[in-house]
Amino acid sequence: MRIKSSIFFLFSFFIFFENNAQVIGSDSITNEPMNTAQNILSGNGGRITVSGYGQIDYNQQFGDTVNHNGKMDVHRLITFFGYQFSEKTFFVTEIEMEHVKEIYVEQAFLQHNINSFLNFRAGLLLVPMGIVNEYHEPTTFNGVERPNLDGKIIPTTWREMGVGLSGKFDNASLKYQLYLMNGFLSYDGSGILRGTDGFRKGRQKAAESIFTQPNLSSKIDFYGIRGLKIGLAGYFGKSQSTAYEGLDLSNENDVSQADSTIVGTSMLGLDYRYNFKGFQSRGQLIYANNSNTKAYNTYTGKDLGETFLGYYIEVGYDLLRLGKKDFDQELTLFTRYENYDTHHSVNSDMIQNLSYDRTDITIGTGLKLANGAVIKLDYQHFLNKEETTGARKQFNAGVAVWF
Amino acid sequence: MVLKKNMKSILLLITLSLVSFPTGDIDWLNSNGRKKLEQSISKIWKDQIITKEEIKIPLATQKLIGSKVKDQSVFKIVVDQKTEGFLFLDSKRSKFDVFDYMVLLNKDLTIKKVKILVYREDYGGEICSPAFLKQFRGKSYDSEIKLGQDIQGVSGATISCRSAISGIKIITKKAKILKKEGYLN
Repeated sequence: MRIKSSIFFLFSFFIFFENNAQVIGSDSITNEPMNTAQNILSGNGGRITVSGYGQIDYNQQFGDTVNHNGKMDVHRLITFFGYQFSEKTFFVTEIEMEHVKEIYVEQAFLQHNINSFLNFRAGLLLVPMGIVNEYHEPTTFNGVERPNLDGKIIPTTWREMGVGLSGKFDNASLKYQLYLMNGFLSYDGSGILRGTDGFRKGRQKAAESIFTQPNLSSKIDFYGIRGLKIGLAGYFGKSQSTAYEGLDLSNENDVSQADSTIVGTSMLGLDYRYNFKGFQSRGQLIYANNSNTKAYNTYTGKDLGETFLGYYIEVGYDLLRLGKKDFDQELTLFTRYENYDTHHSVNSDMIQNLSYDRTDITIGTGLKLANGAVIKLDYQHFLNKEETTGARKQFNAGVAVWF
Repeated sequence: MVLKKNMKSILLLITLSLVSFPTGDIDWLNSNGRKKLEQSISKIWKDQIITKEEIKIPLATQKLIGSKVKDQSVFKIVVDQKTEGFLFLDSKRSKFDVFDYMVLLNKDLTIKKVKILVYREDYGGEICSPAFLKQFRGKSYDSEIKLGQDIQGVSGATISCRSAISGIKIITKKAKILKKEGYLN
């Protein structure tokens, strides 16, 4: 009775909010019917939005005793399609072609705005953690390649199926996201998560993904100080495993074996972005703690670390500000110091692999020709705690576009 | 039992949900937007009688400005029978949608207040922050309004920041021409 009345109460509440807003995006009769293409091209009035980005790279390793071939790659080419059903309801998709031949769906979700501080979202979502996972358009970050911390610890682009709420409080300059999401796959007959890149192989990417238990993902962003944005993110839950399929739950031995195939993860992330005139800076601090790694590594023969720790700090300056004339173009000089360790600590049976404690130094430049079009050049210096023979060196050049 | 107890509040809610809010004089703006607009203006001139008088711009003048001025988008703000400023309403594109905003100008056409009235999507919603919008205060057509130089943007909301800046710039230009043509007195 109590539950029923509560549901009824909530429902009435929902209707109340709904009726207080006009829906203007309903079908209208027009004497100029448009097809899909015209609808897209009409821009402002259209309900379909198309957007895209591209990242085209040249990577050349050099500086050691052996020869290295360069790599030329249309790394990512992406199309966004958005469709607005009504003023409050829309659907967003992000379809990605990687390395010319791999196709992925990176986002596909339905959003309904109940009011400005309460939006409902469901589908394939990005996990809000750090900066680049959510804002991965290549013109929004410095350097040809994404920071490696956003790859080895945060498995960018990290996306899974999920459902949840988001919203903002304008006067407090706060934005929040809170989702229940599917977790990493840690076992599919053999172990998946490993020492060198932690969760990366475990991303299910919503491709017939296996679900055993939900994970919680949340982020709060504060942007009330001019030019500054600070984010705090948390991710908590357990990995998913095929070992539970068809399991007789009364068989303790089987259950305990299946329990050895999952890992519990708590990840915390702090990030900031700051801009003032020509100066820009950003940074991230990410910490992850994995439980059950001893049982997992023993059972699967993997070398997953118990804790991960990584951070980077980046500063840049737009040299064209010195000339004071034309601000439509930018020539940004930047440097980034990055440290990420996926064996920050390991379970008692294991020895830390020092080669997983890595430091990258990147120095580079980006020439913004127009809003959304950047030519990038940089030099990267890769070090790790184990290697004593010197750093791996790489030169990168690339084209980045976003429209 | 519990249902009965809640019945009153439920009925109240249902009744409230059926009552539509009174339509203001700006039909194209949704009820939340109108509410925000009224709140922003009445906060400035507390406990005073504020009226909005629409200024209609003939097509010839719109051509002179070089952009369309839609109906119910330019108003004179009269407080206690004295002209205190001018209100411009407009819509601009964010990433996947449009947002509605107001620019309130002093009599000398400097910006008194900018407020986002309706923002419809997640992307770029950070521009609704007062910390961002306060930066426009005091600016006019003669001021430089460049992103990253005069106005610091919000990370993750660059498209909407640019869009807002371009819209506000056009409004200051419109105001200047309309003043010259004798519409803003």
